[in-house]
Amino acid sequence: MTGHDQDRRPSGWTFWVGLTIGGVVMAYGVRGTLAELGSGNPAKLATWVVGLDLVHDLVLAPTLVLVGLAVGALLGPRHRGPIRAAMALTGLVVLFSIPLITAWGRRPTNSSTLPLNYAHSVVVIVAGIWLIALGVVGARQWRNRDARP
Amino acid sequence: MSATGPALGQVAAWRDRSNADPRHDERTAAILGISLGACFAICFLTGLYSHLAQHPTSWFRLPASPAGLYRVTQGLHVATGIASVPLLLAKLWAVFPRLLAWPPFLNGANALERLALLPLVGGSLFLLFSGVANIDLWYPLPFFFPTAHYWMAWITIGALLVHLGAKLPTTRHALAPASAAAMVGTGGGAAPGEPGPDPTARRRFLTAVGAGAGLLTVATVGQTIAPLQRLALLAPRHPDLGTQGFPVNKTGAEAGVAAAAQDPGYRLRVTGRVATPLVLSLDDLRATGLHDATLPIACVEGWSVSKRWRGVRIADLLTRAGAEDGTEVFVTGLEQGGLYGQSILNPDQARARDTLLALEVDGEILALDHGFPLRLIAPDRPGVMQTKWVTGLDVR
Repeated sequence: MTGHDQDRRPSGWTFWVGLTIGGVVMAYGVRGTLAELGSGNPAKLATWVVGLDLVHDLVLAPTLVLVGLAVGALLGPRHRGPIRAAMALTGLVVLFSIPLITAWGRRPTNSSTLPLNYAHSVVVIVAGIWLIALGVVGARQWRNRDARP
Repeated sequence: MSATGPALGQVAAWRDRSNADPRHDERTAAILGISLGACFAICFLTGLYSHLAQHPTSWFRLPASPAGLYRVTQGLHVATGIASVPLLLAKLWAVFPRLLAWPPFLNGANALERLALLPLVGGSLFLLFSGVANIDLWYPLPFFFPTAHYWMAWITIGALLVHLGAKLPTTRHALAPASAAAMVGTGGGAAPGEPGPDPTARRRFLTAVGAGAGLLTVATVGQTIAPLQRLALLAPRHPDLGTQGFPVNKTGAEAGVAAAAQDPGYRLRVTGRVATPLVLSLDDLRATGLHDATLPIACVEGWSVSKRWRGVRIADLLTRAGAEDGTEVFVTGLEQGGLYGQSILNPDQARARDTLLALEVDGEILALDHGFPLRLIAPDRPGVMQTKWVTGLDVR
């Protein structure tokens, strides 16, 4: 048995105390959901929860892994880090901003709802991220210029 | 079928390499887990406070001071939730190789612990997704957001406690200084012939995660922290933009109150457990004596702004009507059919010096969108409970 396998077998009083208290808290949440969310809605909520989990595990995470591996294969070790970080931060900003850029929640009757030009904001932020990332790559290149053959 | 075996083999090889990569090891998972756990604890407690503020119970009474308490708790709730987005994604990425562990569980305890990951991960994703959608005024859920968000928070926190109990010994071990020294530069993830992982990989990875959390925070928190407004490029609301220079949740036209609010026959009625019921015109109210108060409008969606209000003290009206001490006040407005056309002031808030029925804001007559002719403004309350277009005070 490997050390990793050993870590996968939870034991000891912290596990059982956590399981008991956590189980009671979860049961309280399930009871409240069933009592207050309205007929048929707990099943819809469960579908959303499981669906988001599956979207993450089957789509988002594998995509991140594959993109990370591709960047690793295409770029040298000095450049990988900043480029991967810039790509991850760009993805984060774009993902977070989708409801803002699409302005699904903007109401023509209320000028204070989503009042900014968010596409412009995202371009500014992403440009800043890449400026810094390419600056780091350039600095590393410069620092190691004498090491090249 | 023939391609399945090699593909699974490659996945297993990646998993085993990744398990020894500092960015995927127990120390990284522990650091991210503690950061995320702290954020979730803040979100849970501040969310609980917001829930209690909107659903009064016999054992909790919303305090009348400090006036900006709700502004701080709800601002913190939303800001911490936003900062949790990159933390959660990073944590899930860091432990992703463990999801592929085979066999899926080794004993009953391991099966229970893994089963609790479904509500933990799915619940966490749901809470952050639904919370971000809600502050963006986007409602894709086929059920009522606050109820689902609230009860799912209990389920997720319960699952987090199960996870915490299971992982506490591992976390303690992973964060011990000796363990840190042993884990740096193990190089165990390298394929034969390749150099091992960069020993500074964990620090660089965590720096990038911190940059993501900081970036989203700085780009949004200006919706509640005035000095950072100019940096709030991704804030769904801007404290300076809207009718009379601040945001509006529901306009007079959206609430369908425009005609009634501007009717010259408008009257405020003070009724219920009072010695002398009152029916007051706007001139009567002005003659009662106006008072100033600087109070924040603090929205459940995380934006807030402080304004100078002028209006009639509700305490003065209660005294004039001969209301009994210790009574609460049910405030009603013109808005019909919505959840927020009325609210309750507990005895402390109803009699606080700064609790006003405001006629003016920043020296101007209230605009219709902000509740003309009268709106409630009281310390330490969610914006949705600062009832607009007020027509009645029912003492109970």
